[in-house]
Amino acid sequence: MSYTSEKVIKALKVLDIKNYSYCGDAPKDEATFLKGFSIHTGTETLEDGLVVAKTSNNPDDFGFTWAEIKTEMDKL
Amino acid sequence: MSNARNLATLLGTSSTVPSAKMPTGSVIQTVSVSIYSDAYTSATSATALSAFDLTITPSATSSKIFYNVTGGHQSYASASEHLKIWFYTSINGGSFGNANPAGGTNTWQYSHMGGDAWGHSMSHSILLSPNTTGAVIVRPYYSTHDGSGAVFFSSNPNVWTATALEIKV
Repeated sequence: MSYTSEKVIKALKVLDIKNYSYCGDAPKDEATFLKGFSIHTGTETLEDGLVVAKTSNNPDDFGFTWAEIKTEMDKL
Repeated sequence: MSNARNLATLLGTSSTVPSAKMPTGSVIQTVSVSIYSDAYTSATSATALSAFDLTITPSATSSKIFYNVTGGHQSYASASEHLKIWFYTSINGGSFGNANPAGGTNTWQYSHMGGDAWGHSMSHSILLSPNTTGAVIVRPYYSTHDGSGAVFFSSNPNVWTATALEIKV
């Protein structure tokens, strides 16, 4: 099975996971996905007023596991 | 004075023309980065794209920095979204500030991504007068407008290239 960012996004929507970002290689497997994925844990405001996300790349903060997202992607 | 002597004077002691001898408008230095990663977010708060940073260290405080980005692939997934992009700069270790001349939190780009509107490439230029010989960092930020889907700032394997030129003034 080939996994892509488009499938990841659709699976995250099914799992009702919001406020995340990803930056890295296409998430073809768990290791690649975990390297690029961040969940937003809060915000901070820059001096000019821009509200910027605080992020975590700790899987314990994600609220889901790779197995769960993989299950959803395999249904697509 | 002979032409040879004039040339030697112009060139200094090496065969490379020193920047001090270059005419105004000369490109003193060039740095560039090309990235072809996936970068997307579902958040309405701005996300820093430090992986897309470009750093240049001017050789003179009077220099201008011409920053240009081109290419990439802006898109969406799951639901139509608006893509908001900012470019922020840090001068000589200072905090990041909006490069948009309008200031505040004004976006540099605000695009609709949905339906047939996807796969855009970007082209933006920023002329900076950093007044430093310290590091100048340009960093993109991006967000969605309502978080109902996700927007792509960049999508593999499409190439996004940032280039900064130091211009002698």
